[in-house]
Amino acid sequence: MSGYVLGIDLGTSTTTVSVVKDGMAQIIPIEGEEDDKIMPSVVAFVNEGKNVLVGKKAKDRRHLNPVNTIYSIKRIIGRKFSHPETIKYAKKFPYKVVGGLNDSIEIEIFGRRITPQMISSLVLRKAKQAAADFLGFEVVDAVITVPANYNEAQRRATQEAGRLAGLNVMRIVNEPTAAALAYGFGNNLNERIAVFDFGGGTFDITILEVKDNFFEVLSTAGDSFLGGDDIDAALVQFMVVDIETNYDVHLNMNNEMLTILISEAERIKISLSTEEKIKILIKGIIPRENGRLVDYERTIDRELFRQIIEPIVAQAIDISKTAMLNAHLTIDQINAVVLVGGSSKIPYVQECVTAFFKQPPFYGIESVLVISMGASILGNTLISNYSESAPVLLDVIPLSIGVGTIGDYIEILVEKNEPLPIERTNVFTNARDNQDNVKIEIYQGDARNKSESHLMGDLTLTDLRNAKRGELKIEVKFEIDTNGVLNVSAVDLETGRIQKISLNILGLEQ
Amino acid sequence: MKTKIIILMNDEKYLRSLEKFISSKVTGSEVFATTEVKELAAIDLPSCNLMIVSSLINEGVWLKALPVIRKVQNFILLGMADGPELSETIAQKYGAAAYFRLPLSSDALLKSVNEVLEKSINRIKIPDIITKDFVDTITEFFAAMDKYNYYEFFGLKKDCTAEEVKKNYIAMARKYHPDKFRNVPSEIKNMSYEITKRANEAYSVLSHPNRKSIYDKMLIENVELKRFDFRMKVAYDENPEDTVQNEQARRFARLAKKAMDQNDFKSALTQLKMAISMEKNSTYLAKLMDEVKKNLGISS
Repeated sequence: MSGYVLGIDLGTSTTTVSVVKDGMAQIIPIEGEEDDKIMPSVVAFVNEGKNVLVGKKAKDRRHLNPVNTIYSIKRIIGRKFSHPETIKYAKKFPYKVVGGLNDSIEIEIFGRRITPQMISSLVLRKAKQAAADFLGFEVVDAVITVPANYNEAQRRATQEAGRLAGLNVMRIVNEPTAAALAYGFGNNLNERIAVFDFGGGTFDITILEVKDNFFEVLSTAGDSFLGGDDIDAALVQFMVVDIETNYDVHLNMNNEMLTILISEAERIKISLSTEEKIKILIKGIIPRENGRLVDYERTIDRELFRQIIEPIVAQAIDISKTAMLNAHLTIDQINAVVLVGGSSKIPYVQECVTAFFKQPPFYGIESVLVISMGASILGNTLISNYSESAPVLLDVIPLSIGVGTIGDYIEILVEKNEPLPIERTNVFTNARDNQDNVKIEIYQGDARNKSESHLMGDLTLTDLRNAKRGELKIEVKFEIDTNGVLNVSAVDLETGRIQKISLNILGLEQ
Repeated sequence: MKTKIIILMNDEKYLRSLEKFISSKVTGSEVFATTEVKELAAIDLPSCNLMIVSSLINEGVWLKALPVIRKVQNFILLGMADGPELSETIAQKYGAAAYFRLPLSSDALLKSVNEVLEKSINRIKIPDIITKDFVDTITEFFAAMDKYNYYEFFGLKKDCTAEEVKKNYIAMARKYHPDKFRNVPSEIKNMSYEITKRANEAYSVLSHPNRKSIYDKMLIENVELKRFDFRMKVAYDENPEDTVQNEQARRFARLAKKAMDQNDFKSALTQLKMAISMEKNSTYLAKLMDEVKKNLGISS
C-alpha cells in the first residue's frame, strides 16, 4: 500500500502541504501559487457561484469581488455565531457572515449558505490534488495542523473540513508542536524548546522538552485572535486616522476601500521586515472639495511601525510568560527558541522575543513551511513500523474542560496542559423521581465562573430508567484523544448497562 | 505466525477455485474468501498480509471497497478483460503490488503472491512487534494494570525521585504509545491506548506536588484504592429546574425564569408565588424569588 501521509498546514492566510518521500520531508509544489508552493487560503465564487477559484487566483481578484471572496475563514471556523469575536469579524469581513443552526456560522454566497468547513475543504481539496499531481497517485491520509489553543468545536470543524475534502484525517496536531518536530526530528537533541508561533490569525507559544526523538509538550498557551491580521488592522486604523487628521476629511469606509487599505497594510508590513522605511501610496482615496480624489502618500519607517504594533506584540509576550509559568521553567532553562509564522518575521517581534528569552531566536529560511513539514513527519511516524526508538509525541490539552455546577461556578474536570490521551470519570444522578433525562453543561477555558467562560455545549443523558431521585448512579467517562477532541460514554453503575448519552457542541451544525 | 490472505471477488465460482488454489499452494497461509465487502468488517485488516481483489472495476463498487483495501498491507488487482485501461489506472493510482488481466495464468499469480508475501514479511517486520513475547507482555500488563497503584505501575517504590518517575514514564511511552502501532490487531492497539491513558493519569498525579501528597496519604489510609480520585467534589448543575419535584411548580418556575430573562420581574413574581405555593422547600425557587425581589426593590 502507498506509504504516504500528507502534512497540511491549513493557515489563516496561506496553506502549504508536505510529504515524507525518500526519507525526507518535502514541500509539495502547487503550481501557480506563491513560489509555486504557498497557496493563499482564499476561495472566490465567480460567475453567479457556478465557478470556484482557490488560492492566488482568488486572492488576486479580491478587490474586484470582495463580497464573494472568502479569506481568513480560519478565524471563525467552529466559532459560535453569537461569540463577540465572531460579531467583530463578521463586521470587518466584506463577505456576508450569517447565523446557522445550533449557533453555528454560515457564509452567504449568491443567496446560498455554506459552512466555513466547506470553504476550508475547498482549500484542502486543492492541496490534495497538488499532492496527487506531484506523486503521481492519490494520497488520502493526512495530518492537519491547528492552532494549539483551538477549542473542541474548532478541532471538530477542521476534521470535518478534511472529511469533506475526501481526506482521512489521521491526526489533528497543534501547529507549534509540528514546528518543533520539524526542528528537532532526527537531530539527537536534548533540549528545552520554546516555539513562538505568531501567524496570520493566531498566536501560540508552546514549551517542549526534546530528548532522543521524544517530544514532550510541557505547556501551551495562546490567543486565537492575535496575529498578522491584527497588525494589518492596526495599520489600517493608523492610515485612516492619519488621512482624516492631516487632510481634514471624513473617509466613507466601504468594502472596496477597506480591501485596498488592508492590501496596502499587508505590503507595508512585509516590506518593513527588510526595508528601513517604505512609502505608502494609495491612489485616489482622499476626497477634496471640488469632488476630485487625490492620492495618499507618506513614508513610514520602522520606528513608527513599532509604535503602531507595540500593544499587539506586548500581548504575545504576556502570553509567553504564562506558558513559562505553566511549564514550571525559568527563562535560563530554555535552550532554543524557534520562531514560526509570518508575523515572526517582523524585526520588532524578533527583538522582543530576544529580550524576553535572553537569547537570539532560531528562524529558519523555511519558517513558513516548517509546520506542514512537521505534520508530514508526524504522519510518517504514524504509518511506520513499530520500534522503541521511533519518535514519540506527547502533546497536552490546551484548554481546561469543566462542568457547570450549582450557582455560577464551574468545576474543572480536566486541567489544561495534562498529557493526551487522558480520561476522567464522574458520577451523575437524577435530581427528581423518574426524571427521564439529565442535561449537563460543558465549559472550556480557564475561568471558574460561567459568566466569564466559554460554553462548549452540553451533554444529555437520555432514556434514564425510572428511579427515585438521587438513586441513579451514571458514570460518565470523558476521554480526550490524541487529537485533543472530547469523546464521552456513560454506564449505569447499578445495572452495568451502557447509558445513552449525547454531546452537543455549540457552533457546529449537528 | 500464519500469513493472512483475503480474496474478494464477485464471481462465486471463480472465488472458490482461487481460494482452494491459494490455500493449497501458499504454505502457512490462512485464506478468507468472500464476495461481499461488508463481510470483511469482522476481520482485522491491518494484520492481513495480502488481499487479492477482482471484478470490482465498476468505480462505484471500487470506492466502497477502497477503504477496506487500503487497510491491508498489500493488494493484487485482477482486472476485467473488458475494462483493462480503467483497472490499470486504478492499480497504479492506489499502489497495487501487482496487476493481472483476466484470464489469469495461475503460475504467474502464484509467483507474484509469493513475491509480495516475502517482501511484505521482510518489510513489515511483523516479528518485531507481534512476537508472541510482546503480545504476552502487553496483554499481561494490561490485565494487571488495575491492581497497580501509580508507583507499581511505573515499577517504582514510593520513595522514588521525580526524575525516576519521569524516566519510567518516558520508557513506558516509548514502548506502548498507540501512535507506534499500525499493523497490529485492534485488541493490541486498544490495550496500548488504555495503558497510555493510565500512564498519563499516573504521571499527572506523581509529577504534581499537591496531587502527589494527597495521593500518598490516600495510599496509606486505604490500600484498596489504586487511583487518584479526580471526581468533582461539588454538585453539578443539574439544570436547576430539575430539582423542583412538583411538575406544576416546575412549569411555573420555567415561566418565571423566562420572564426574568426578559426583565419582566412583575410577571415572574406572580409565577414564582404560584410555584412556591405548590412546593415550599425548593432552594432553587427561593433563590429565584430573592433575585426577583431584589430587582423589584422589595425587601425580603
